[in-house]
Formats: sequence, C-alpha cells, structure tokens
Amino acid sequence: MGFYFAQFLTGLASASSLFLVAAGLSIIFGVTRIVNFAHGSLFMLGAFIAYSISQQFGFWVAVPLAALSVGAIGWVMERTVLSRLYGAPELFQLVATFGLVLIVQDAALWIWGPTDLLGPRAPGLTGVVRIFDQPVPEYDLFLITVGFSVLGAIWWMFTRTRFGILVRAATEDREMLQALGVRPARLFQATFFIGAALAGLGGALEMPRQPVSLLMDLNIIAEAFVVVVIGGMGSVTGAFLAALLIAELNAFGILILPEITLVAAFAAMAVVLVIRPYGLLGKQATTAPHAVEIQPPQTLGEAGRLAAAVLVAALFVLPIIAGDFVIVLTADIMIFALFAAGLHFMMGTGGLVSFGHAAFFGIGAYAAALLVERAGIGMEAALILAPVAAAIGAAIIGWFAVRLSGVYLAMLTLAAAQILWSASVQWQDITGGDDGILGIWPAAWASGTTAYYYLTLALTTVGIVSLMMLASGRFGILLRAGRDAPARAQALGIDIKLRNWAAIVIAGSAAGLAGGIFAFSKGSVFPDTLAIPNSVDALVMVLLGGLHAPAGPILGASVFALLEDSLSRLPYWRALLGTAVVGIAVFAPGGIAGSLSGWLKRRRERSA
Amino acid sequence: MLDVRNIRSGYGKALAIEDVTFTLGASESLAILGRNGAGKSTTLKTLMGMTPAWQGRIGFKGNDIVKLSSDAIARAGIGYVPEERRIFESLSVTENLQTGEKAGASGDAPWTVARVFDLFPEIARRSTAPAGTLSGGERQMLAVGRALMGNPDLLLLDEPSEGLAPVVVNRLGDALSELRRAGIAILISEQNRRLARLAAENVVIMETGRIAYRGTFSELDRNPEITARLLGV
Ligand SMILES: Nc1ncnc2c1ncn2[C@@H]1O[C@H](COP(=O)(O)OP(=O)(O)O)[C@@H](O)[C@H]1O
Ligand SMILES: [Mg+2]
Repeated sequence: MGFYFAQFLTGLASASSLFLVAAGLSIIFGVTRIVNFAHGSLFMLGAFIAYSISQQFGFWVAVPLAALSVGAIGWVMERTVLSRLYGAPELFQLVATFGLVLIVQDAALWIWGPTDLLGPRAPGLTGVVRIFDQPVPEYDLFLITVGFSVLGAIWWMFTRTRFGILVRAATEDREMLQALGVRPARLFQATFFIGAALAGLGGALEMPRQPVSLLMDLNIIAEAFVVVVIGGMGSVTGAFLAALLIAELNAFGILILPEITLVAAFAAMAVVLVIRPYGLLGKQATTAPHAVEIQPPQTLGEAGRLAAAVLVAALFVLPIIAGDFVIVLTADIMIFALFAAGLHFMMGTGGLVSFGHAAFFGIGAYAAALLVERAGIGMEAALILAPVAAAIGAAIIGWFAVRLSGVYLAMLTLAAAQILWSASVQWQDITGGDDGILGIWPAAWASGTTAYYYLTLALTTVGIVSLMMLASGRFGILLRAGRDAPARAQALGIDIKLRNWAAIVIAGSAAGLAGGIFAFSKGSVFPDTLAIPNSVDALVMVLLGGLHAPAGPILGASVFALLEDSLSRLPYWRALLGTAVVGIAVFAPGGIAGSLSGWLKRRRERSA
Repeated sequence: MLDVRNIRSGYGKALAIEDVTFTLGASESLAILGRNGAGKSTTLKTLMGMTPAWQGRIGFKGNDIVKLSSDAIARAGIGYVPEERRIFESLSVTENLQTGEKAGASGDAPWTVARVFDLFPEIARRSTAPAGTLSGGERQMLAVGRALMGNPDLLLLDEPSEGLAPVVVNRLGDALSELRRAGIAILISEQNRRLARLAAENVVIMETGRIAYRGTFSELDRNPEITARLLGV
C-alpha cells in the first residue's frame, strides 16, 4: 500500500514538469493557432540556462531567472520568425518552428557542449520524508506543490485579469477580438512570453531530477504533444489532467513492463481520441481554416517526361563511367528520393503533414533486418514485407490521424516516431538497442556495389513512378478535392477520411520500401533510422524541392544529399539546415521547383 | 464623420461590392437595406477592415482608414456588431463586456459595465452566466453592449433583428434610439424596415453589390414601387 502511494507521488512529481510544458504549448496554440514544435527546445534551454546561473548564484536564484530568460527567448522567437507566419498556411508554421528546434539544438551544443551536465540539487530539499513508511524525496513534494500552484496561478490569471480574459476570448475567436480594438501583436507576444517562461520553469525544475542533456527537447515535446492532444488543444485544465494521466501511467507502467511505458502513453492517447476526438476538455476550433486556392494538378509535362526518361537512362549507364563513391552516393539519393516522394505525395497532394515520417522508414528497415536476422527469410521476401510492415504501422497511426486536423497529424506522427525510436533503443533483446542489428546483406545475386545499385534503381523507379501516377490520376484528384474543398468533396459523396487514410498508408509503404532497401545497402540498422533528424531530412527534401512540383522530391533529395555531403563536415550544419528550413518557410514557400517556375513565368510575361 | 468613396471589395477573386459611396455626419444615422446577398455585410466588414478594400477611400473623422487593421479602426472610434454576434461563448456576460473595454478615441470612457447593464437589464440578470447559455435576444444585446464598451463614435450594426422575436426587436429599437440621443452615429444594415426606421432617418438600398437607391424613409414611403423593385415587398 505505502509503496503504491509513494509511486503515485513520484508520478505526480513527474506530472508537474510535463504540465508546465504542456500548459505553455496549449496556451500558445489557443491564442496564435501555432503548434510550437520548438516548445521542447525552450524546456531544454530552461534547464541549461538554470544550470549556468546556478554555478554562480545557486539553485534558488537560477530557477526563476531561467524561466524569465526563456520567456524572453520565446518572445524573440515570436518577433523574429513566427510573427511573419501568422497568415501562412499551417504547414509552413509547423515547419518553421521545426527549423527553430534544429537551430536551438546546435546553439545549445555550441554553448554547453555535448556532454550531459549534472545540475545542483535544491538546497533545503535534499532529504526524504517518510510517508506510510516509504521514503519520498522532499523535492518531489516540492514539485507537486509547484504544479498545483501554477495551475492555480493560471486559473487566477485567466479569470481575474484582463490579459487572461483576452487570452480566453482569443482562443475562441481572435478575429472578433481584434475588431474590438485589441492589438493582436501584443497579445501574441505576451502569450509567447508566458508560454515560453512556463516551459523554461519546467526545464529548470528538472535539474535535480535528471542530467541536463541535448536530448531533453525532443523527449519532452513528444510527451507534451501526447498530453496536449489528450487534454484538448487550448485547454489548460485538460493539460493538467492529461499530464497526471500520462505521468501516473509511466510511474506504474514501469513496474509492470519498463519497455512499454511510452507505448502505454500512446495507447492512452488512442483510447481518448476514439472517445473524444478533441481531447478530454478540448473543443473543435471555431475559426475557419485559411482559404486555399485550389492548386492545379501535378503532372509532368511533355518536357518533364522526356527529362525523366533521360534521367533514368543516365542513371542506368552511370556505373559504367563512375567510381564506387559516386555509385553509392547516387543509390543513397535514390533511396531518399523514394522516401521523400511518399511524404511529398501525402503532403503535397493530400495536404497531410507528417513530422515523423522516419517512423515508416524505420519500420521498413527494422522489419527487413529482423526478418533476415531472426526469421531467416531471404532478401527478396524481406524487401516485399518491409513496405507491408510499414503500411500496417501507417494504417494504425493514420487511423487516428485522419479523424483530426492537420496539426494533430503532425503531432501524432512525431510522437509515434519518437516512441518507436525509444522502443528501438530500450528494447535491446529484440532490436539490439544502440548497437543496432548488423550483418543484413543482400542475396548473392544482388551483392556488390553495382548489382545492388541496379536493384535500388529498379525498385525506387517503380516506387516513384507509381506515386506520380497515383498523384496525377483519379485518386490524386479526389485527394486534392478533399484537401482544397473538403465541404464540397463531402457533399459529392467522397469519403475524405478513407482517401486520406489510404494516402498515409501509401506514403508509409513507400517509406518502408526505402527503409528496407536502405537496410540491405548499409548491411545494418540503427535506431537513428527512426529518429527525428531522419524525419526532418525527409521534410526538408520535400520543401526544398517544392511541395507542389511533381519533380520536387527528386530535386530535393539530390540537392539535399549533395548539400549534406558538403555541409555535414561543417561543425554546426544542423543550425544551417534549420536556418534554411525557416528561410524556405518564410521566404520561398514554393521550394526550388516552385521558385524556378515562378521566375520562368515572370520572365515569359515580361518578354511577352 | 464617415466618408466612403467608391469602395470595391470581395472574397478571393470574386467581387462582392463595387462603387459603394455614401457619407454620414457626426451623430447622424443611416440604414442600408437590401436583399440577402446584396452586399450589406461585406460593406460593413470592409469598413471594419475585415475584408480588404480592393479600391476606394474610407475617410473617418478626416483620416483615411482604408489601409488600417481592424483593431486600429476600432480604436479610431468604430464599434462593430457582426451579423453572427460572435460573442465569446465560454466567457461570462461580464467578461464579454470586458473584452470590448477601451477608452474612446477622444480619451474619455463614459461607458461602463454598469451603464450597459442599465441599458440592457435583461443581461444584467445573467452577468455571471456563460454567454453560450444566452437566448438570441440576449446575445444581441451583449454584442451591442460589448461594442459600446469601446466608447465608439460610430456604431456598425449588421442585421441586428435577424432571428429575433418582434418584442425583442422593439426593445432593441428603443435602445438604439437612446444611443442616438446620446450622440452616437449609427450605420445599420437591415432587412427589417421597422427597426431600420427606428435607428435611422436616411437610407440606401443595395442590390447585387451596388447602391441602387439613396434617400430618406419618408421619401421611400411615397414611392412603394422602389421598395417593390429593390426589396421585393
Ligand atoms: N465569406 C464569403 N466568401 C465568399 N463569398 C461571400 C462571403 N460572404 C459573402 N459572400 C458573397 O458576397 C456577396 C455579398 O454578400 P453579403 O455581403 O453577405 O450580403 P448581405 O449581407 O447583403 O446578405 C454574396 O454574393 C455572397 O455570396
Ligand atoms: Mg449579411
């Protein structure tokens, strides 16, 4: 009995930090309608800044100062990047905050270095108290108090201050609020400051409980997404309840089966979403989505088809003239082009944003590796089953995602990918953990750089061409109708959810095939196939190439691979990548292909 | 006070209003009549900066407000009561009024929550109730009260009588007459001529996005063929 109560208190203590982060995320979303992927980065910065301040001034000065500093950083983020994106489509807002994650990652690496830092413990709260004869850390009790106090403070602010009333009004109808004379910019800045400060406070308070590390940002954001989705976007009380639920699930789940705690969180989210699609206390957003102009279909013209044929022919003769290095690099590009083409298909044609596309790539890679390694199946069967496994994963995740709006899909896929990544690291018996699975070599007939290159060429060409045909065919038309004019499509009797689900499954299986090919080309599989950076790479390729250009993923993958090959030797190339992502979202939403065709069109108009 | 010249506006690429021109002096009032889809709401939303004007000039107290954002227009002294009311349903009645609270353009603030409750005792009784639980008439009063909390010199009302019972419409008419006596200029769009007449003496009639008639209500009464042609009654 006493043991379970102590475990319950541990859960409550963990819920506090999670609540602080999720509450900030939720308030910011409510007012600005932006899902801030960089919110986990603010949490991480809170911990790092508190660490630095505590070295000089001690713990109790460090915590509030860190919260305020992070609030200021959030304010700067809002002013410099997000305020330029309030009118932009959701996708670009999401992507830009994702770029910020990369920038903050490298900034933290640059300032604090790669090793984990052990922060100070809280002076005066280092002991334990006995409750029901069980030792409970004093600091845990303090954290629990903080959680409830912050909830109380937010409640007070929301009901007793004009700012709080305006925040609640903006969450309902910010256009009307503006028409009453309220300056949106000020409201947004203040909201960002408070939301970021809460995240910073959460991070600072974690110092005595866990080492300060560069992994804190993505770990917490995945969990915070789960919390916000369960609690209901924009609801602080919902975030509180959901944080409790998740933290307790973790606290008790770890007693039963340590490996499945994250899976349990995901399962809890799934159950809640089935019963209440907008979360425990959430409401369907009342503001109308942005009016999008219906985009023309994505088809390759005559010239494009010719270029594609020339490209395939050139790739076919490449091994005759090129050396091994070029052949391997080209094979990698083809694999990533297929990976990106699937994502491009669901994002460009379907308007469905996935931020965890690596989940499907990784499932494909691990499925192929496990089948070969543990089940003794041959390469051919493994390459067939890899996309099937990924399709099943996509079907499960997609089933929940299509019930919800775009931001939920992005959050869900990111959370799912992060959970799979954790599982691949933790579940050592099956996945080998960080050591990965080695010795996954192709069948005899396909081994050797050149032979495997041709297999890669054949499979990726088939995959990409099929995706292009699907996008420009009837399926693509219906998918676009669901994206651009959902009400009209519904009225015409098109089952949008079913189409979107199918699109996610198709995109997932393309990623899975790419993952399978990748596993055999490298001879091994590691958790980083599932990790967030891999998802980001796919996203960058799609955006770089152009979301609405049929050749986008090929162009994007090529440019990206070449850039990565040269940039990744630079020390802080992820920050460069992040800056590029933010830049594309803000300045060149059409990507390379879009900007190019826009430029050509303007030139033609001028000369005409 | 309000000088609207040749404004043109619409949604996406579709034109909704064109060549709309009228003026309104301080403490004057004007009704815009017209069938559904004639462009009344678009005209008011364009004045409010909520749909961008493609062309034209909107002078308000001597300044061109056509490029301003809606919050700046509100602060210049225009209160807006939208057709859909758009009250904040999860906020209490009092909190809804507080969202509209600001000093008038001249800096003074004669309107308070208490004064709004004096004008509309119906909603005073529900002051702590969530606005989502109000009846249609109470919602309309709350929306008008919320606009008054910003101490406007000009009030824009978009079909305030829509969906309301005749007694409630009369109640609203009394309140609007009182506001006129208090010196607030009123621009009201209506299909209900009785309320429009209580709120304004001058009238324009819109048809398919343009102004098809301008005059006074007494003139309109003498020419029933105009109303028959433009309003279909
Ligand atoms: N949100 C909107 N999107 C597209 N068209 C609109 C929208 N609102 C109104 N319209 C169109 O603009 C025209 C004028 O509408 P509106 O100003 O609402 O007329 P009224 O208020 O007189 O009924 C109509 O043709 C209507 O269909
Ligand atoms: Mg109307």
